[in-house]
Amino acid sequence: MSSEETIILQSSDEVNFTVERSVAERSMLIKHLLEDLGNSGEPIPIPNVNEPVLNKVIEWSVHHKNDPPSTDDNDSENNRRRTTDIDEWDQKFMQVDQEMLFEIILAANYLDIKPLLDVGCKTVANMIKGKSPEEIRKTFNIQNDFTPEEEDQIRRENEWAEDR
Amino acid sequence: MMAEKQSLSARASFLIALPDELIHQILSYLSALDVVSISSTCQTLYRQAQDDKLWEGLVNENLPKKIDHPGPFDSFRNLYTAHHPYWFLPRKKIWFSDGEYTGRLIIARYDNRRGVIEAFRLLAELKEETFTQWPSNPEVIIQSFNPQLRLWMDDPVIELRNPQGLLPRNRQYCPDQFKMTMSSHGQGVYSSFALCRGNVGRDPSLPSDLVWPPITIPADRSLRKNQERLTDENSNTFRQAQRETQNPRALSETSFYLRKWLHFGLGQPIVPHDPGYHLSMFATLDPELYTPTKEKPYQGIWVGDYNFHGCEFLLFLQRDPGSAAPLSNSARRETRLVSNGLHGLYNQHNGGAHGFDDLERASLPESQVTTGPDGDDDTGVTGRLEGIKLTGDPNIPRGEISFVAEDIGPRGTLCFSDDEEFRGARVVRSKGHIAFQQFTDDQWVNTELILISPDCVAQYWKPMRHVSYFRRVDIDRFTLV
Repeated sequence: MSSEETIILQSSDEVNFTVERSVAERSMLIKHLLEDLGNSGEPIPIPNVNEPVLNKVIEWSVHHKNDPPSTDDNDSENNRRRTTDIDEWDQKFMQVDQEMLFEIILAANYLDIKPLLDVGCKTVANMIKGKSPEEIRKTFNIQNDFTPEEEDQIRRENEWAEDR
Repeated sequence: MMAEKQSLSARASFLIALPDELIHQILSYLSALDVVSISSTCQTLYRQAQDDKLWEGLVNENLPKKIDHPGPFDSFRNLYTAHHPYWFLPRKKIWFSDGEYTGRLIIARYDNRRGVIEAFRLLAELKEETFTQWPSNPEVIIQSFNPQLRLWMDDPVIELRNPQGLLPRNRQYCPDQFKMTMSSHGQGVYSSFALCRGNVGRDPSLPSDLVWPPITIPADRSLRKNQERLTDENSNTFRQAQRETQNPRALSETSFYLRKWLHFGLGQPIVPHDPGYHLSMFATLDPELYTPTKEKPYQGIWVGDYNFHGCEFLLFLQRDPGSAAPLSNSARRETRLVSNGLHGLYNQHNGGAHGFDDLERASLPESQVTTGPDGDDDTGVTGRLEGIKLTGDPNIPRGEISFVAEDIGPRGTLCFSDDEEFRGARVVRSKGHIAFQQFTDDQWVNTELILISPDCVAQYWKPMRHVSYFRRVDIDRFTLV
């Protein structure tokens, strides 16, 4: 019954998306909103997310609408495995330009879609792995704002890691 | 394209622009070395990388039970750096050595009260044994088996401490050889912990004696630098072995060396020049091999009763169907014929003394003919069960297979026991491994494996007319300080 029910989401640039309730409820923000206020049938404004980004977020939510609820936070904190494995579909989904990647992360954070936020952060982590500081700067367009003295101090602080 | 590049560099970095908690989450997926790299890129990320929560996570991923205080260190970052790069010791926890015939099984852990990474021998002792007759087969003796397990705390095998936070090079005798702090140093016995670099993969075309862990156990292998033919780095054997090593500088986190030597008199102890001198090698096991699952309920670390040899530790392994298993004797003989040319190479330098035998070191019985139709007693547990010795004795040494049941499912089942002792347990066809001293003239004898429970198995050694037990060992009990 609830799978028939649809929700209208409105992006910051006022584009409407009609989605199944179960898709919209991948966002805990919207889920709680619907629980508290009910579905009036009016568009729900998503002020921080523009049309292309909301489109991506919905694409992800449709694909993952039947996922079992994520294990609670404490469990994943306790999980000692530092895994950055990402399933194949999500990997393809995240093959976007950097601006879009970070917009998705911010949208997932705002909409409270933890599994999407995790995939986004893991994607960025994988872009950092194994790179030198200079390579990281290049990848993310970071300006080196250290003074020579600071650079020297950091080099000494990190000596334990080079010494191998 | 140019325009796009310019506009990108004109913009601030998307990464830096993220809220702190999201940068934190991204960094929490990185290894310590990646965190170090990112901390040297700019002020913002430097500040983020100092967050001790990050380092708390990096420490805790190596420990069986989380700690929430950095013990004697003033931060988790300092704790982490003090024991870099050997956090893999407590993370892998189980280690077994190549010591001649017997080997050793040790448990590594981190003691947060003292800030020490340490490892102790696991001992199994028999308090009292009783021998009873098997009621249904009075000629057979059943030997009771209730070993007491404990760590031998009096004589640590590894003890690494670094209260002053010295750099690795300042706590080493020479590159990769870390000083240890055992009290036995007072008696002139020194020891060092040495990192192992490079591995030769799972199935190197090298004589099995040159690698550890033994070829009976699925794992990436490294070179036994204590092995006579590998101690000379200019020898053909060594160079051939080096060629099998994919990345000689890559730090192995699944094996290491320990060295013990005597030093009397004054002055700083130095590591003996002879590279193979009193060196022992340890390897760990992939948790997948010893973690029981629904399909592999018998997998795990076990302790077995080996008569006058005492208790020995085993890996009970249920290989995936179709996965590569060690070759049987006759298959090895064939391989030997085929690869004779290759072996000539190894023997040049060593007079050919041992060369041929090496490839036969993993002895296996010929495949048993499994008859009998599939029954209704199928529990879904089938396939081969092997008991591989982690510690051994002069007859059947460490690393060798002690028994093989070709199929513990319906096809290998002989009967279900009527005996009170074994409570209706499934009895499967099996082969037990016996040999004379120094593992000579080994042969396989018929045995029956009595699968009493996933924690207790008995073996009926038919020719010897006795029944001995194996019991599962709860390793995790010993990893907690």
